[in-house]
Amino acid sequence: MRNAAVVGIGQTHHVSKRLDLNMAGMVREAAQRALADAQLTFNDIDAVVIGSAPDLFEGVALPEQWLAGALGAYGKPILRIHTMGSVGGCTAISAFYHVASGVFDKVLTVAFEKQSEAQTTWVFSAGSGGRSFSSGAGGAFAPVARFYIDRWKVPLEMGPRVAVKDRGNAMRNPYAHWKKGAVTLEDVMNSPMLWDPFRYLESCPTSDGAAAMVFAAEDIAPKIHRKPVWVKSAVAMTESLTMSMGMKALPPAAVACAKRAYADAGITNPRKELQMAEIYTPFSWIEFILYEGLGFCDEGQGWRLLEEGVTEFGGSFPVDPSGGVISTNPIGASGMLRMLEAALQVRGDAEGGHQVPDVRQALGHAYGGTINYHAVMIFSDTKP
Amino acid sequence: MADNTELVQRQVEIEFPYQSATGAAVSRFLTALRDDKRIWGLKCPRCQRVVVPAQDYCDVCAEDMSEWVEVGQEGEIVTWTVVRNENTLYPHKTPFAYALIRLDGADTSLLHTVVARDYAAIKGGSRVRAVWKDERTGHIRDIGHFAPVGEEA
Repeated sequence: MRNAAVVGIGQTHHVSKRLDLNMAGMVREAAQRALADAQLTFNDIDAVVIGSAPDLFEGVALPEQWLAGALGAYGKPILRIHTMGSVGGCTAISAFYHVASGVFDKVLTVAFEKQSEAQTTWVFSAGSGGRSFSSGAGGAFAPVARFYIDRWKVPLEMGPRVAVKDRGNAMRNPYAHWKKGAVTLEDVMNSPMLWDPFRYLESCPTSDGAAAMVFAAEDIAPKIHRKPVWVKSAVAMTESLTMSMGMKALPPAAVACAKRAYADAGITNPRKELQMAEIYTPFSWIEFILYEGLGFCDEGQGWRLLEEGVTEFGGSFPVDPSGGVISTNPIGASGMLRMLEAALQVRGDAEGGHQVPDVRQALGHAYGGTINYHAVMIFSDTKP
Repeated sequence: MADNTELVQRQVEIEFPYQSATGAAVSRFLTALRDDKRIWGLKCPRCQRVVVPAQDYCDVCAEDMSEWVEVGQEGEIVTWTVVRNENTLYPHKTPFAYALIRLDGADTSLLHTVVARDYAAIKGGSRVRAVWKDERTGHIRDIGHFAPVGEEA
């Protein structure tokens, strides 16, 4: 294994519907932005790794076959990754290993979703655990949140406060889908209940968007970008589909994934050695379960991190300064957006005022399925 | 497992509506089929191929394409299969042929269908011509099918 770094970052401006671009045009837009950031062209790329949600989400079978030409993969290897919502994270991880393995020097990776073209939340439950019940995504995750609330006797406004934090953060991120302004706790509490305890404003939107990154080998990365962002950890873990975590409100795969990622990065105290994190919170209460799963605090204490303001934008350990998945959810891309935003923070290039000061190391996390797939990357301004 | 276990098969029907954006180039290609009964391609600035149906980028060079070129209503069959089995998903009653057709002036092959009097007469290089539907909606099948030249009527 050799080191590899992020040398190119690009994303679309995420919106409800990109009628102006087909799927190929949308992934191209993100890819061309990442290549421009790296001052590279499609010709410079050795391999492409692409990730998206299930074919059924958008109704296009084998999209990678269609999109290969749009991403300059003619005559080159292209590999598609698919792990539900975590796919963007796993795709970035795969691209990293393409380079770290020594096989490829410069790899383009792209993840995307056009939610406007389909009925994704219902497809989710057609192809997943709730196949016989059509729960929708919120219906699948809500019982986990309910279990967490009951187990730890958490004040009921804490979930809504995640929405206040994230939708407020989104107003500083020019790429975020949510544009309607910061919301108050009252706004969130008064929004319609969808899947108790998730209200409308506590639930992710359906977005069209794509994310792209370029990874390069350690000897060439510094020649490509003035500030390569080094990868210290790239770990994916899985558990069973059947929500065994529901009995503990702590996803074992997240715990294992984070543990391995910290060991690889030599991190013993994440909240001291990392300056921020981008994690995958599509519905409010999931945030606290992930704080605990990712080792930001002890079990049962996740909600207190937000109550004490630790994870607010101005706090000592901001989480999801981009606005997170609650504000922007092109599902296939959402996991890569977490990685890409963490890398941008390390580079100091988060636009529009959502840059956290003095980020030297940051964590990106994505989950998928019924919180059973997890992916973690740790980025650093220093070569390992 | 006991021998008398009844094995149950779950019945699942999955049906969802999809609306796919086609993008600028394909939209222009489709509206020209609908409004003008004309077939357009785009020319790659690098490899100079005329790509039909039009799309925003060259699949080979990954270049953006913007030079529109009208191609012929006639072309030649590159390769084909005659469909003999029945399926409600097929666009025609069988027999008919699926064919890759290189239209005059194009450098790529268009996938479409051929309806002919004598399928045994079809061969590589056979000349075919677009047969248009009267009611067109902006869809690749606004061309109803291709027919051997001389059989269009």
